[in-house]
Amino acid sequence: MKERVLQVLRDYKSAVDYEKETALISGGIIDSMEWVELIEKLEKAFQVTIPLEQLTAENFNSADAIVALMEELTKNA
Amino acid sequence: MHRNRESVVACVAGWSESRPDAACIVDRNGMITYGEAWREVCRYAAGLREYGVFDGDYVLTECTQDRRFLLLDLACELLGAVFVPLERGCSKERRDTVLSETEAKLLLTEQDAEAACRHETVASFVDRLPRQGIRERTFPVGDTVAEILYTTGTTGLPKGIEITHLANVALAENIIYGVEMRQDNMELIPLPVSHSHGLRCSYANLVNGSAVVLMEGVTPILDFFSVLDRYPVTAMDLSPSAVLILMKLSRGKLSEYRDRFDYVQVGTAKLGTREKDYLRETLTDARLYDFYGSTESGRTCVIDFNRIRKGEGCIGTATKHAHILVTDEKGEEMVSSRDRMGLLAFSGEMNMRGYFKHPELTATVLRNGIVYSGDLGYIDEDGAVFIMGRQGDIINRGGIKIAPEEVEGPARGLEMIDDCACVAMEDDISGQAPALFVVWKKGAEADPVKLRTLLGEKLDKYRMPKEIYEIDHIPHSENGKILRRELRKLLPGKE
Repeated sequence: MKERVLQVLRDYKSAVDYEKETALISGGIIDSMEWVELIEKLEKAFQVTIPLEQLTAENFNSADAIVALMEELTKNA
Repeated sequence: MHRNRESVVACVAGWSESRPDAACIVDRNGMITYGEAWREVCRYAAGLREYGVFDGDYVLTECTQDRRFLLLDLACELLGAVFVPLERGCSKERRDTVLSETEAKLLLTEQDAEAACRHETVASFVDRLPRQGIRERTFPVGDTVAEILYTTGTTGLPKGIEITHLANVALAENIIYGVEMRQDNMELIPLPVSHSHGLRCSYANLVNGSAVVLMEGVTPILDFFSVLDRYPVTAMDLSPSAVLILMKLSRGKLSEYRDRFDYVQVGTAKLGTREKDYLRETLTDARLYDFYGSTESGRTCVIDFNRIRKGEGCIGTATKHAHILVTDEKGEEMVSSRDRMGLLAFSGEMNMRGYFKHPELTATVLRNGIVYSGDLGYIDEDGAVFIMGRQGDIINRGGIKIAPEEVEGPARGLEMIDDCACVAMEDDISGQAPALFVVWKKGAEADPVKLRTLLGEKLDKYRMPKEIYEIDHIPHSENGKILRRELRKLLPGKE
């Protein structure tokens, strides 16, 4: 799962150390329009819909947080 | 209403007397009333005095997107100082250029910064505010300069636009009357208030005695809805990208608030058809306003696109203080129509005083109080104003002048087209002819012959593209304008 998430992230925006970065959203590395596009790419890649209440900065600030979110959503899908 | 309406700060002072408990500014730290805001303005003014700021001095202030920024703006007004907003995170190079041109007395930034003038962080400035505010109640004279708004000119260098106090009040009234603003209006502004659009929305509410709610964008989306839950917001000021974010991320939740919105105004760039339809479908009963204007001549036309559909290019009717003229290429007023277009020009109190320290540049745009635009258009028999293109983009096909939008509009309406742009190409017979660049819609049949047939049903022979070129994407500027010069480079023989 982590490799797939990292692949989506790297395909979307390169030159970011996704293994270490923990403030992708709150640190402005991914801006608001990019966030929207990334959400769409993740939803497409994992065949899920991310509910409104899960669209928090914390859930997208790091690759690990995104992995946890995707795992939760795919488990419930 | 307060009798002195020559400046925004005088209006705020007036409301602090007549409506002291009414909401004025809401930000991440909560709400302040007009009574509280006015006391803070006086303290901020006293604070600025301690930094040596007096009448006529320039104060550069980086946007903090909260009450402090607006209070500093109003405090500068009260002292007769000139407020110069800088966007948040402004580059040092840009800041230094503005600093050098204005010879500012004080620079206020969000983070520590090095500068060639006295400088301070906004947080430190506020921490050191004196307890007592200034006691003088001398409001600025209307025709003096209130602020300089820097935009990026065509050369890429910043150019300062001088706006007087009276112009700011006129701009505010163009909005107030344009949106039929109620006094109990509470407007959510998630756009930067250092930019003319967000700043003028704020002024409109302050002049009207209404409230502004400041936010940094509409993401995280839950924060946006939490603000709507906490405060009785009745209006919003959105950019096209903010609408797009709401469309993609709100998961239908925005429609739950539909009964509460009086209006939404959209600005900063052209709103796309998809985003317009989304707002119409989501906020069915709200008035949905698109304003036309520039930093030089702001808020001159307005249209409620939820109620009025006058066709491609309509920007609505003139606002309260705006008078719109159509001129020929020499700047002489002319009678215009769909078949006889001219260049739009604007007069009225909202107009800029000029470009700061650039009289030659000013003279090219502003003459006898009229701001001349490069927008080609006409006014119809009902007084509705239409823009059909930019002066430099017009295609002259054997004397017939064609705006690119006249070709793009019908093409965009076809199912097979995702995006398109029209530019002038050289033509041996007629001098110029339209060339259409198209991006096919995913899954649609990419068939230029069929496209030409369908276009032939909508366009006359003069407007039919001479050539159709397929392209992966249409280049756009940051504010959504088509970069036609980039496309012109792609024409055969232009590399």
